[in-house]
Amino acid sequence: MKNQSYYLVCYDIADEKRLRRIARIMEDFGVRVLYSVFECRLGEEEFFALREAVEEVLDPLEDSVRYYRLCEKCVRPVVHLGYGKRKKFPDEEELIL
Amino acid sequence: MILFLTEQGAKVSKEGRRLCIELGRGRKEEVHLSQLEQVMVFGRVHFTASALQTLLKQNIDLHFFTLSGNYLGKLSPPLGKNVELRLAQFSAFREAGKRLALAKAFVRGKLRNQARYLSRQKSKLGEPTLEGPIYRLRLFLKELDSASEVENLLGIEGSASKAYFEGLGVVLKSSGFEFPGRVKRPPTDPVNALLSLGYALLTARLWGLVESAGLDPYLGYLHSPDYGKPSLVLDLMEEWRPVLVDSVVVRVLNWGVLKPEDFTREVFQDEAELGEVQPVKLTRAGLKKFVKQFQNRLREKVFYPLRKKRYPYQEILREQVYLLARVLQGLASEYQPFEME
Repeated sequence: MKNQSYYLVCYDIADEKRLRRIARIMEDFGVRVLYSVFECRLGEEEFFALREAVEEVLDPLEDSVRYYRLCEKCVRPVVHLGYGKRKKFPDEEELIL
Repeated sequence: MILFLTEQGAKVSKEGRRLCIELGRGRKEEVHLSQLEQVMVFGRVHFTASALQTLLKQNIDLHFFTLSGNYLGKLSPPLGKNVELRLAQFSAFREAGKRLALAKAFVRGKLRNQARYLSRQKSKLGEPTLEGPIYRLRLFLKELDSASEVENLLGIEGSASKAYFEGLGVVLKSSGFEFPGRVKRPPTDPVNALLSLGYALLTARLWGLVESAGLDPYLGYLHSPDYGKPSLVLDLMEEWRPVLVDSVVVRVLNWGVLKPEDFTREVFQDEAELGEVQPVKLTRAGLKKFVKQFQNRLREKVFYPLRKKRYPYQEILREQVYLLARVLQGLASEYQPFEME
């Protein structure tokens, strides 16, 4: 949509409580595709808001997070096998309830 | 993404940056607000105050329909600040020559696509009886060129549509559904109910695009301005009716995607209370199937001459609105309606 980029966000959080907090923040911005991996479509402001929220909780000595920004060309050929507990996909065009 | 809500009694609330929809039997769905463009509400769905505020704040329009598919209205923030564009829109309206040229373009687009659609169906179905309506549409197209008043255009368009709908009846023969010609307000049979629903969905979609382009939806060139009538939306819709609605209606009926059991004469609670009962309409299950097909159609890619590439219909729909905006501002020479292949 309007000036949004695709971000793959992966993290390793050492502490249970921090992990839950960060997962909750991530749910607000993207879709969980693997246990500690989220796919997001964010504009510039939203990306900064996400980073601010996550880095507020993150312990830089014990935890790590990586944000990979990918262009459309790189995203298109992504192959995934199995859906696990995944409920929905980030690029749905409509939801009919 | 577009959110369609048909489950009666659903509750929509806001949680952080997401819209949460609570459905029956404890089911919950979530949508990220940043991905949401429009919400289409059918029947009785509850919104929390904070959800409504957020939707308005984030410029996501809500369109309300009865469960039977009657358009009721919309909720959206005030129109944009592009006053220059609206002034250009008004001045083109006041210039008889410009107004006529635009109005003609809209009707030409519709008649051409109607003729093309029937032509394609004629080859597909091997129906020689379609030759008559196609020929008459082509005659009306010629008449269009020499018309000198906007009022004449509406007359031509009306007669042409009569001929076209005769053709549509022939196309629908194999579906087993009777088409008695176009009947609206209210539609009295399944085919007309689908046409009305399709046109209502298209209107809602286009309305959002018109407003986000900064145009005033109430000032049209072909359709005369009238209280509450989105004349410009109706104008821009003309060329798309055969392409995006009629073709979908034919597809769902001829291919059996919708069957007689998807329709009902049951009176829904909301339409009874509003005093707008539609004799025949889709069941809720039928409505979801139709909406899905309509969305599928919008996502189909076709060649768009203006950009010399293939684009989904929904993108072309948007581009055509922007094209009109450019024509009005003198940045493009004339409005070329989209031509169906």
